[in-house]
Amino acid sequence: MDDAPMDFTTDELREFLEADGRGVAADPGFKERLRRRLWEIVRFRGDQRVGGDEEQ
Amino acid sequence: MALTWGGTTSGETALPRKRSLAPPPLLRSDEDLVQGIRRSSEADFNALYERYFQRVYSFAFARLRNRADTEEVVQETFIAVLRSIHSYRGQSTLLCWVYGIAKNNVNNHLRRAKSHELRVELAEPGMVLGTASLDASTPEDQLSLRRYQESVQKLLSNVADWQSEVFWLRHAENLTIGEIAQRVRRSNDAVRSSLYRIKRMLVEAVDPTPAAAS
Repeated sequence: MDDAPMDFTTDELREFLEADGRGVAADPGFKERLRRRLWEIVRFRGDQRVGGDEEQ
Repeated sequence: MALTWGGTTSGETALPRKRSLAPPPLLRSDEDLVQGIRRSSEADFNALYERYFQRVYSFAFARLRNRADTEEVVQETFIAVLRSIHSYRGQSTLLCWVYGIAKNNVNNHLRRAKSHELRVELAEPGMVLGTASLDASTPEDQLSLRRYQESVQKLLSNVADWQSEVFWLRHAENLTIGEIAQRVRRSNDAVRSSLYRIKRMLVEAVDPTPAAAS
């Protein structure tokens, strides 16, 4: 995915940045389930890269 | 189970480790966390997740106003971020990058929802008849309508209870997609899909040629 600068205003970005301590609270169960799933993705991709490096 | 900085669990009998000079993950820069995640550091991953979760969640909820849709977008956003983190070149800050992905996902979600709703609305005329049309029709029409209603009820007995409820809430009580989603505790997309599926089944039941179902 390209990480080149995208089309949005600084106000939008500030709103996003300041959303840390406010807004609606997420379901803690969802947050934890997603954390575990994402960590599996990170670990799997890490393993794949290590495997790929070893094969080379 | 508590996590240590090194990404291992505290319950392990670990060999003595050299003291790391790196700052705790929560104080590290985004770029350092990205590097750590590329090396599969769980501590860095957790720190990045904690740093961005509430931002992405609040941002999405402010636009979608629905928990199920928000959770879907939050999940899509983090998966996109982590799947492409190895190709992140740092051309924009991580903050801008994550925000860009979140915004894109919210917009795509809104577009999909709008187009799905439109398809459901377009599929409505002639397929679902209200009681008003029963009063206005001829005896032959009433008979054929009654048969049609029987086939609708028979068809609805073959779908899950909540899907049948969705159908009646929409067409008998005339509730909006959002109201139905809250009532049956499903996402807006799930409600739309369910309505769309039942309508396709109705079309096929009335005219089972392949052209009618397409």
